[in-house]
Amino acid sequence: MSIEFIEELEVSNETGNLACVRDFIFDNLRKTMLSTSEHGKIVLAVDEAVSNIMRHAYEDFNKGTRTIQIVFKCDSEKITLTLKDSGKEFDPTVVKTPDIYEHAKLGKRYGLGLFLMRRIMDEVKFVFRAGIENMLTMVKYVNPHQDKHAEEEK
Amino acid sequence: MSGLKIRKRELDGDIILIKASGFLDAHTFEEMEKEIEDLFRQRIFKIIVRLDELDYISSAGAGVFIGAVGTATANGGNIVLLNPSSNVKEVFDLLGLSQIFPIVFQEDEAVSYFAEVN
Repeated sequence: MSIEFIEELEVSNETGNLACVRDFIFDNLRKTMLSTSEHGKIVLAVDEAVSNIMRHAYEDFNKGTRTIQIVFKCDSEKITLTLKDSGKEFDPTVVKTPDIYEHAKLGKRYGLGLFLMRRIMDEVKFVFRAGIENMLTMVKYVNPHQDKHAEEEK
Repeated sequence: MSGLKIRKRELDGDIILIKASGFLDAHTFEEMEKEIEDLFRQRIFKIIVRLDELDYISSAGAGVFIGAVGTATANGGNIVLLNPSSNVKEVFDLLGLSQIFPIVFQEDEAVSYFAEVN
C-alpha cells in the first residue's frame, strides 16, 4: 500500500519549539511505511537541522522573531524533509567529519549536528539565498535495499 | 516532549552521581552544562551520569559531556555514563562516544571504575 501525503509546520526561532518539531516529525513518521527503528534517528536529524538554524543562522535575531518552515513529504519511495529559513548562509563543504577524540581533547561542544544529519539521512542538500531563503532538503528512502536491488536489475 | 530534570547524589570517594531525566537538547543543555561547571568549581571531577530515564539526547546534549570530559580527566576524574536508555545509546553509537566515555550498566560498576583508576 502506498501512502502519500504532505504536512507542514512553522515554528519561530526559539529552542523551546524543538519539542514541537520532534512531535511533528514523530507523528508523521508513524503514518509512513518506514521501519520504526529509523524514526528516532530521523527525528534527531531534523532536531539537529532546526537547532543549527536557530543557533547559527538566526543567532543575530531575537528569539521568536524569525520563522522556520518544515515540510514533511512522503511518497512510495522516500520521505523528503524540507526546511526553509531566511537566516545566514554557511558553507557545508567546509564542515569536516568530526574527530570525536579531537573534540574531547579540545573541549569542543559543537559541530556534530551536520555529521549526524549526513550519517542518518540518505541525502542532505543545501541551497542558500542569504537573507531571502535558505533551503535544506533531507531524504530518507523507505526501503533502500529494495531500491538498490531494483537499480541493479535495470 | 520537553524539559530536563537533574538530580544529584554524593557517593563515597568524592564521586557525584547526576541523574538526568527527560530531554537533553539545544533548549536544555545549558542546565546540564551549569551543573557540571558547578562541580568543577567545587573541584569535583569524578562524575557518574545516570541516563536510564533520559528519553532523548541531541548533539547539543552530548556536547556537554564531550566538552567537559577533558577537564575531568586532566584533574584525575572522568565522566562515566551509566545505563543509557536505548534512545540515548543509539545517539552515542552514532557519534562514536563509547570511544571516549566509559559506559557501564550498574552503579557499582561506575563506582568501581574510579576505584580501579586510582
